[in-house]
Amino acid sequence: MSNFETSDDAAKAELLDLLLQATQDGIVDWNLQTGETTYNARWKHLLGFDSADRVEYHETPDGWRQLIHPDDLGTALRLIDDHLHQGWPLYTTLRMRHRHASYKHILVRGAAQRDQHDKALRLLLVFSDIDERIRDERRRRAELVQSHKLGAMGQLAVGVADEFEAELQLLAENLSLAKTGIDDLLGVELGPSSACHDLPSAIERSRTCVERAAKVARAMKAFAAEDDHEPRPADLKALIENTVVVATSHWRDVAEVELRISPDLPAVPCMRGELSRVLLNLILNAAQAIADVVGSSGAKGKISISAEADATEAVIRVADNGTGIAEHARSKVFEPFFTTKEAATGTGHGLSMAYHRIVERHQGSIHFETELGVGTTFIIRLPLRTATSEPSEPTP
Amino acid sequence: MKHKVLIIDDAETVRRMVVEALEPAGFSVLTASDGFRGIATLKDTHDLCLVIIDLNMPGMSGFGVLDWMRKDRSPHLPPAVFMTTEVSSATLEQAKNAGAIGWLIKPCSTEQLIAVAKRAVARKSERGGG
Repeated sequence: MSNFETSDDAAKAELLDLLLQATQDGIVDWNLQTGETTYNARWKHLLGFDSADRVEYHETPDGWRQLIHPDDLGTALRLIDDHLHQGWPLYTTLRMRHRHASYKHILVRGAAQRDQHDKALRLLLVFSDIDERIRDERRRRAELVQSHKLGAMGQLAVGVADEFEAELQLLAENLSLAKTGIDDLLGVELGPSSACHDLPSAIERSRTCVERAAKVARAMKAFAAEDDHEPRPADLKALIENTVVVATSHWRDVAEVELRISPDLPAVPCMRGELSRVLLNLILNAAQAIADVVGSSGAKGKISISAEADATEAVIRVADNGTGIAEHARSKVFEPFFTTKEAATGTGHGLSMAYHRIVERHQGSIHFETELGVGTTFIIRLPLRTATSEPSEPTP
Repeated sequence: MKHKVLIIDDAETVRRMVVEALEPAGFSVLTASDGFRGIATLKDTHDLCLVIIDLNMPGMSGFGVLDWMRKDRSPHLPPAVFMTTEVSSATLEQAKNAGAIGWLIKPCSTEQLIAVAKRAVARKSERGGG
């Protein structure tokens, strides 16, 4: 350990040499006074060049900047600026062009040397290859989303099976009634009697049952449909209606659902599967909050879902007149694994996933207004156009 | 008059380290061992030039303290700097958005602590404060 604090220059040089070998990091030493930049040998290898390569551009003073993905350059320069002028830690992941692969994820860290007036003189940048780690994380995240999706589907399947069971039960009763009617009509024993008058309505009710069951099946199919990988214009009205139908068994006993979809709602760019699951989560939460108020009293609360749009964004509101969210829980609503429910009811993942989906995948926003004893409204805003990033100029 | 700095950290060693780094440099250091006590000190002390906040504390996190400061908006509240052992792009960005003016990574040197405190004082005088 004493080596780290040695005053012996040779020992320091040896230690530094060993350290650079051990980390396998690329290092850029940038003199902010002269603009002169020095690269270590590892720098070349990091992005696929070998020592013999006579690739000039990556060894020019701003070569490292030229290799940063254009979309990440603005962020990189802003973070360097924050470090040089305000002393914020420099720590960020950038995509950098690799000789063979198109881009690699590189963790960039740095530290400035300063004079006694706090002015940065020199910036040392350390580049670490974390491409594999990022890919692993992405895969794990995708698996988590997938398992969450399957969990939600499982939960729904029970509800949908309930719906089918109820419809089939009713269908069976009506068919029995129809059979009695037909027996009577045939007048085998006593000639036509009153039961045959019920025949048309029994058949009509049977048809309604079959239609309702088919509607549930169609909604479930739409809900489980192939996911979009990027936002595409979609019919929000259909999406909201399907989600409400799929969740029927969860709200039917405790609430009425009121839909107010603006008639001039344009097609809204979204990932339908993701947005449906977010809405489903909000509806299930709303139903739960109402159930906590009405209990098994037979009274019903209300879930109001509205959608409207102005020139720039679509706004979806899911409001309930349930318990409201307790003060201590408000700041944690969007945290992963946070739940106020019994272990069997929820994973606590729903709203953090919703946040991730709306904010990161749709560049939208989600927030809520809540009052104890009055209810909660979740508000989702989705941009009608996706934003573009603005690169900024370096100001070292 | 000495410039006052508040350190909010549940670890006594860290509080002591900050006191030992800043007092010889002419600062007066107040300490709080959790977010709630920190907020009480922030309410009562109207001449702080900087508050250094540990991010991970039991009970109330550093972000909780900063949230309170942002909502309270009293003009006497000092600029805030976070202190952590680990750093991530996401938390850095969150801290910037929440209005922190800087971040120290533990273990930090005496020089780094003094630089941050001086930067806060310079900022205060730029804004016409005391």
